Amino acid sequence: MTMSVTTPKSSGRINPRHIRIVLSYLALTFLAIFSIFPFLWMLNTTFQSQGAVFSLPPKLGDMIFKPGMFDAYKEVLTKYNFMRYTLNSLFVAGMAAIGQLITASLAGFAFAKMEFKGKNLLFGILLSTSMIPVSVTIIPEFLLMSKLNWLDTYLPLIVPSFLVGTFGTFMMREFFSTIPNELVEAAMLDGATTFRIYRTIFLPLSVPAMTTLFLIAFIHNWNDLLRPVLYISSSSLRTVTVGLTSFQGEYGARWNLLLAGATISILPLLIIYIFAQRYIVEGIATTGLK
Amino acid sequence: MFKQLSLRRRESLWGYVFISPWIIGFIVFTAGPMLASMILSLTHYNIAEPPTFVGLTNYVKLFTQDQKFWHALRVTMTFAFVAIPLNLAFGFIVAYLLNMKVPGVAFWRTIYYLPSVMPGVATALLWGLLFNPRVGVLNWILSLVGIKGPGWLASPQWALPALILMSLWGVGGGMIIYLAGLQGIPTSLYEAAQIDGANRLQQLLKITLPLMSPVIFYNLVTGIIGTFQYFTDAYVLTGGGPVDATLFYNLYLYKQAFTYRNMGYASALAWVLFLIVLAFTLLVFRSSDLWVYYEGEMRS
Repeated sequence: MTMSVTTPKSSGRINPRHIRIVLSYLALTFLAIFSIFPFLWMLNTTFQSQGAVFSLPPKLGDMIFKPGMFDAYKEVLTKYNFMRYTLNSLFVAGMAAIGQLITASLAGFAFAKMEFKGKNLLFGILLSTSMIPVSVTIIPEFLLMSKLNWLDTYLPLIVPSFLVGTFGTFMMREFFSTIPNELVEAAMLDGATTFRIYRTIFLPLSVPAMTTLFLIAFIHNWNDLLRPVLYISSSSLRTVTVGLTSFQGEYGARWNLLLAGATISILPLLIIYIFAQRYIVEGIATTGLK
Repeated sequence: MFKQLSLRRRESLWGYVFISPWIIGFIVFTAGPMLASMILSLTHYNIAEPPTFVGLTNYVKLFTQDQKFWHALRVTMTFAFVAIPLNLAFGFIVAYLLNMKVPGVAFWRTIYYLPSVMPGVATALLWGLLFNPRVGVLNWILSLVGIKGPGWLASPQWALPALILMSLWGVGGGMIIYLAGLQGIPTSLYEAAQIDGANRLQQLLKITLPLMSPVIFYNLVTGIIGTFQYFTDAYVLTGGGPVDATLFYNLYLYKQAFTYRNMGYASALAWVLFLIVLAFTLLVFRSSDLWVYYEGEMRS
């Protein structure tokens, strides 16, 4: 908590405040190791030759700085198709996230700035849908997709994201609500249509919020396993999560390859996270989407 | 006159246009499927043949004959009652530590939240290897302090505890939300309390916890919903085993629907799941009057 009022005791004795700081640093460091260590071990293992992956105590990867250092990555990317899986995931997650943006920003704008009958009721419905477990809707969804002949295509992975987006809509509504109504009223007096107001005033202002939403939706879709497992059967269409799951099933003992695959599946998200973590963390903190 | 009337109407109409993608999505992917799954739950349906109406047979069978249903429910509840409180508490503690104005909050926050952003499949695989009974790092560390590590995911007794331990790796998700809440508490409250001579514990109990109760409440509700949707880790690592020790409700439902193709029966499972989640959520909401403090209440 805040230290601003505690006046440090001037005597030379050990200051309880310092003890507290040291203790909290110890705890924070321990937790940081817990968070980071598995990743480091994973990365290190991808630099082991197959003979050294099971070595205990864990030792530094024996291929580091040797000619074949990235062999595990090369092998999974080419021989085991992870290049293809990664591109597939990029496409699916990117399309799904764009779809979310369109639906959520339109609906978020309407809920924040427009008046229409049943608005509050509809917004209540929107919020309550976030309580419905996917399992309750997934069976009819699967049957619908197979009726539409969409099985083994990307449509079931993209179309629902285009149209649902509960959290996205909620987030955009919260954001648009912070923009003063006077802007709308002034533009209306000037004779601007609603769509024009949305497009020329609100969209440009919402670039940071939209970026956040895009990234969160991208991460969410990238990480999804249930839908890709259900809908995709051709190996050339696999997303990286499915690719990884089936690779584990077949070559589970080849830890260096398995973890190279896992690292590849993590890498795009890690890049996004490092460069945009402020957007993501703030977006999540304010909407509560985990 | 026409023009004046149309201004309101036009806005109204535009409103519906703007939300129409979401409305379509709601009808096609939420409301429709919910209704359909309710109807399906009253049938036998294996996709190959058209569904036959069987009334409440599925539900009766589920409650009276299906040992696996009760078992899956028990597994999920055990996980919920252990993992949710642990995650709530740890997430809160980490956020509380971070909020002590330690330098570099953003740095620590980035690190703790990292595991939550990563694909569940990759982190599950990674932990699966760390938990390996013979050549895993975890049991090696335990052996250093003279403990012979258990079989973890290969052992019926230890598989569920292993998954609970793994879930703690994701405390960053709750932590972020707590931290935002903690940062929103006005410092003037603490300053006033310090002037009145309140110590840290008293400040925690009388200021922080009451003001954070809505956030704790929120994390509790999402935790419950999340647990009943628990899928990836168990699907990737154990497939429900060994000997059904990690047969989570959602995994059992998945198997009934997509492995055995019992779509009607699985729909009944889905509706029971929905009602359980609903009941728990309502229970938590009801009890929230007793322990959740909302700022507006101060006046009354």
